[in-house]
Amino acid sequence: MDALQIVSEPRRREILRLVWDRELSAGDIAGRFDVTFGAVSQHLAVLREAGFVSARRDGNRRLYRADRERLGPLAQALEAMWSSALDRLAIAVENDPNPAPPGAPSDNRGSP
Amino acid sequence: MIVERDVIRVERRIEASPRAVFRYLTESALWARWQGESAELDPVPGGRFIVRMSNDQVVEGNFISLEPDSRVVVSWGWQGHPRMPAGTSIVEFNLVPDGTGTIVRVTHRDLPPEDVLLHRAGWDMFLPRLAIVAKGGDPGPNPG
Repeated sequence: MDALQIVSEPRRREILRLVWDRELSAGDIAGRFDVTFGAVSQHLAVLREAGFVSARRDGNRRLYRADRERLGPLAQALEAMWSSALDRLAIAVENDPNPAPPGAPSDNRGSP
Repeated sequence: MIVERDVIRVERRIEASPRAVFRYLTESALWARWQGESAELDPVPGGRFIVRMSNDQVVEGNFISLEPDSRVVVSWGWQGHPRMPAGTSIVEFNLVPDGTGTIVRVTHRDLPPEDVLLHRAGWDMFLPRLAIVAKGGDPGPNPG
């Protein structure tokens, strides 16, 4: 899975938010979801493998936390996101069956 | 010193007039053709700006300023997001005439730098669909 696929799963995003600035155990995290502990464990494994979260042992528990240094370089990807959004905008505008008539004043109110 | 990491700038040329593009930034039904599942836009200064993504994510902000056929500025955030709640960043669209087309410039600023990944994650629902649309296919219903 690439980074985009990893963060495109809503629960993985939610896990990242939960451990963004604090450590939590898998049990703490699972307690906030309506899915099984096993499912949360799997998501954590994917996030760990990608380096998005780090884990350390604390007694018999494992505590997870977002690894922000690893996440940082992904900032550039947001640019790609907007770029894609504009591609979609271009497709929509350029294929508009009812383009704005030239010369007509813009109606800047929302359409019904 | 400007921290470039907190600002995202993207531009693209569209083969249509600024007037045509402007409508897609200010009319609810037209916005939803390129982003989100639906949009509620009240394109007057202070008017609300809501885009419903899939997975129950809702982008919310307000229109800050509008210049017909040339510029739209909105505030931007996610409902219920712990670090980037409704209206906490700024997105500006500039439309610059370019021959028979328009250069669209998007500037997204005031992002919390450490939150860029999670912000990015907010965009991911429609992007895979975009790729399909861009190839001329039918993206089908939104996932999730």
